[in-house]
Amino acid sequence: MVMKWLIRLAFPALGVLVMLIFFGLGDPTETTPAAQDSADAEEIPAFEGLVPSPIPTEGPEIVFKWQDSDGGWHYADSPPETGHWNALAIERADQPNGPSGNSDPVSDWQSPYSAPFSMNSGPVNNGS
Amino acid sequence: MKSDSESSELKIPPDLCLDSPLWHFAGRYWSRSGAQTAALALQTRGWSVTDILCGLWLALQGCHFSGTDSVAVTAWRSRVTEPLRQARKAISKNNPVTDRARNCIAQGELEAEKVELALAYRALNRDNRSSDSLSEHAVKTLALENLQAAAPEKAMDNETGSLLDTLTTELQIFAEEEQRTW
Repeated sequence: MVMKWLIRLAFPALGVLVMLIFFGLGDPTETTPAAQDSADAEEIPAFEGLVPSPIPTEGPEIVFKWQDSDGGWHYADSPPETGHWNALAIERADQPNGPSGNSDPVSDWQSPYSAPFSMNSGPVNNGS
Repeated sequence: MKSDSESSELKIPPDLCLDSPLWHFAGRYWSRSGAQTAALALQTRGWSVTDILCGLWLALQGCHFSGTDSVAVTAWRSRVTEPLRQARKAISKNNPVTDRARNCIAQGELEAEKVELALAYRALNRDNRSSDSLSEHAVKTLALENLQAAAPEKAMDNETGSLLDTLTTELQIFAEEEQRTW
């Protein structure tokens, strides 16, 4: 008797299952009001607002140049603590030199635009 | 048709001190990559790097910054520094034909910024006569006030606030290092 009813119910259940496969379930309805969502969105600041966006570094580096008491010239990415120094705007080291670039280390101090120097740390620029 | 103020020569005092304490501070502070990056980011948002440096340097001296530039600074900036900057930006990099011209203009722009800072120092020296010795923490607080005075507009977003915090923190570290050095 029970087996007979199980077989009878199996066919409608199979039909419902086939219908679900083809037509699927409906989209879930919203369980929280929209106003609460917007309030949450205001509480959490945007990621772009927290992390400064990178700035373009298309400008030249600033290199500081000074002469010591023995007459020797120095180039560095920071000026000396005392004494007179000059600031030079120099094209970034990762840029290829143009044909006007002077690679002669002896006369380079006279031509600040291509002076060789040893940078101690990361590139420095004036946004120029 | 150009107005008289645009066509006339700028009157720069011949005894203007280019190697001012403000210029020396600018050079040492600019060597800090974090400070430099933050200052340049603010420059792209309409801030004046000269005003930023003035505000920070005055904070080190224990002085308040009014945020207003002198007429001489404004004229020099609008007629010399900014046109040079625009000219440099108008020339693309990595072009062997224009590389030397771009470099010459960039060096000229740097020299113009030096004169601008000298003019600013002259005006600051005239306006700020009293100063107090402050702790590093007080320097940071005063620096933030000075930067807010130098802001091009009063409304600030989170990113601007973060950049200001970077500048003042770098100044605090700078002040501590300077104190250890001397």
